[in-house]
Amino acid sequence: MSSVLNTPIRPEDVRSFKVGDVVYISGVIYTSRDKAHVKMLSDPKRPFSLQNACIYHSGPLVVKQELTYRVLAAGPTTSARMNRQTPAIIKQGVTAIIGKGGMSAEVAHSMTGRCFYLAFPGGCGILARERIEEVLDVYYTELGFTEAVWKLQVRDFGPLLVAIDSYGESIYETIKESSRERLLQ
Amino acid sequence: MNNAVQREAFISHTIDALLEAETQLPSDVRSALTSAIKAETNKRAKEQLQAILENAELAAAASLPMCQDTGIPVFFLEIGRRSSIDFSLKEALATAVQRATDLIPLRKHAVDPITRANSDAPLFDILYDVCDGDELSVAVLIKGAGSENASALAMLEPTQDVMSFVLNTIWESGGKPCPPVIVGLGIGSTFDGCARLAKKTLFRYLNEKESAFEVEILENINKLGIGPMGLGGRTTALRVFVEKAPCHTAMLPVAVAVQCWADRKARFRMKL
Repeated sequence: MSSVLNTPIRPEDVRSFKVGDVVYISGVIYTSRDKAHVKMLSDPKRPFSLQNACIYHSGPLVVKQELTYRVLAAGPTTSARMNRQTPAIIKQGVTAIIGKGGMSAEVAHSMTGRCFYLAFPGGCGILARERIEEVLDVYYTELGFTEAVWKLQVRDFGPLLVAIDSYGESIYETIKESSRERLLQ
Repeated sequence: MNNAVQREAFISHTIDALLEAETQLPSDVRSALTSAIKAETNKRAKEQLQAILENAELAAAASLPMCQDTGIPVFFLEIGRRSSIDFSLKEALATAVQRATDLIPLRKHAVDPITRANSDAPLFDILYDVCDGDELSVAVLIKGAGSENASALAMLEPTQDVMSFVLNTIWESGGKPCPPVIVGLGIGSTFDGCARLAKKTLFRYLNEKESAFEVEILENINKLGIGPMGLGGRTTALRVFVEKAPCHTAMLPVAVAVQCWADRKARFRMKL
């Protein structure tokens, strides 16, 4: 099944997908990686809401041009580094996480009923930028452009593979198990 | 050539090499990925590989970095012992990286390792060798954090199994280093020596003749079925390179240097 989802994405929208489905996202996504995850969770004055938000694990290559920002390449970063903060992010209301390389079984468990993990092909920075229409805002610039939270307007961002769904299924856990068996042979 | 002209020419060639490495998928990699698509029976795996090739085409056409992680340039300088270099190579490389950062551009992602405060210092590494002749040979490879973080080193006991260490390292990293990966294995030497052996192998080209041991490791890695982006498939690694050196009888140092599918690299030579 292949569909376009418009943000904000609600938990009931997430529940209509299963691993292996392909989705495209249109609307607003927020980039957030290592430092921003810690900051988002500890900032009492967080300038944006995480309720039904879509997070994109990415440190885009962005240049400032006079009054605007131009995204040059924006592929995903390794999601597993954010494993520890993700259950708390999901509790704040995040319903979709885009990244690459997978996330832990604990994260898959926190996603049940309310969130899913979408895999974008790693290293495909230009394919990603083609789907970004505009930089709407940027937060936490004191972290530097790589680690800042970029609010991006996207259209048909994808193809995104549902790799962890809201039913506890994870392609990564499946592959981990089958490859572990072959490793031990 | 006087040293100022020499230095500027060196910097200019280095910037060109960085631009090429960041924006153009090397032809040996393109061939390997194309063959991998044909060999894959898993539809999802084929799609991941096709996305990679499509991205490479777009990047080359736009002259933009393929991946937003413009990485750490690792330079390998082979200095001809009859060459006459009258400027600081390290300083010139720093200048080249700084200028390339603004020109290409490259991403600014250097931090202090302890405080994690952003740093403006140019981030790069250099390996050196002295060879015959009067030329300076410069190769650069771009190391992204995803693949670099999957790399591992162990001081094994002399009777421990190298193959197990390599396979476990690849299994642990799963989809994190953006498979299909290129694996450089350094065996022997010393603690830091085996890491350098491993890293140096990543400057090789994928169509170089394979040894029986390299073929064996590659087959075992691909049997794991981790696949492109860790989503399953036959192509977990495109190539394995092994470099060994004698070591102390009480040691078995082993380093696994992992490189992502892009295997970004370029090289040039200068007569000095």
